[in-house]
Amino acid sequence: MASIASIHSLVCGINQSMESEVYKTDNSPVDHQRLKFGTENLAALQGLDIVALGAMLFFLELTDVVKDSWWLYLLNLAAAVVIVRQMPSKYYERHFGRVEPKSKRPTSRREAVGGLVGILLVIVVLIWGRRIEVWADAVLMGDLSGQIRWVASLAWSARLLRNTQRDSAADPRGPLFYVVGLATSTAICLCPKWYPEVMQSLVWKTLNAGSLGLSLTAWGLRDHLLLVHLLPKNGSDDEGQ
Amino acid sequence: MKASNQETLELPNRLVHEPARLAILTVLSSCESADFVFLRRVAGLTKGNLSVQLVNLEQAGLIVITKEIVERKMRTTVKLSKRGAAEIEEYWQTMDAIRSRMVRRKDRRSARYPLPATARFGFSG
Repeated sequence: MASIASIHSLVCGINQSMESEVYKTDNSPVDHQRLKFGTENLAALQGLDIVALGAMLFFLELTDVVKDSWWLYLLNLAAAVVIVRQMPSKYYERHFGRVEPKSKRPTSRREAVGGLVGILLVIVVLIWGRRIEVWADAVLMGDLSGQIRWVASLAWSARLLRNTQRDSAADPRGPLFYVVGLATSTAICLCPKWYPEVMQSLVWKTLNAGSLGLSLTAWGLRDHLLLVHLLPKNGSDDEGQ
Repeated sequence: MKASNQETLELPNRLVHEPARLAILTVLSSCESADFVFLRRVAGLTKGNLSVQLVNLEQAGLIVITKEIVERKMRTTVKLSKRGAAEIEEYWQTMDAIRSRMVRRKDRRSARYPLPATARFGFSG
């Protein structure tokens, strides 16, 4: 126990040590929220494998748009090799290290229901995805061809809803990123309603067909950049131990 | 220590509240264990500095360090000990107590000596 008068010197000491050069990041002292968020989400923010998956999906979808494109299959194969050989995981382990997460706390009823609804939605999209898209085309666009891919907009909406539950204090730009992504993917879908001739252009066809792959790539890149921002490289030393 | 008034407070553990060690303990309290590379990256320390801090914490019994060879490379894994978990918990409780005491004192002082209207509205000169 100590007197309140001696607190002054203690607080001065804390302030001085907090302002030491090692802990100066953007002129703010050590940020415990960043430390906790970075530690708890290290695995979730390893986005380069999602980038490879998104690229593979994009090239796969593009083979329907660009005919006689052997090079697309090559790119697809390259992305598959990156995933199978677990290159992103090895990269992250070498440069960002490893964290063993805390054993999961018991799931609350709300979380369990949310998870169940999420799984059901994925099953519905996998089984009736194309039918839903055809139906959405007919209702929203008055077009029965079912060419427009709404699945990316759905996926962006799901990510936006999930992001609001995450710790947004360490990730303040997250909701904005997902809103912009949702607006962009919806704009691509709705564009033919006002400009029907756009459906003949290769750019629109590419963006429409590969929207889910492009979305996954964007998510992965963003997660990776957020991880790099949360765990900046210490330039004074080499990697490793 | 003799108190200048009747208010007394518990001081936080000096071993814990040094920023580098506090960062390490905060990280370890958020996970089961972390390796040397991650700790260095997240805490922004050099290898030497991190090694010294880890040795200090291990000697104090706050962490447990495990070394193993994986793919012909040394992997150092660090885990919070039971005592370490209790210390970091107690540290945050102490800091919260200090903070709330300071806020109360500040409120009492501002109630006793209210600022003049010019200062409250941000006028200067």
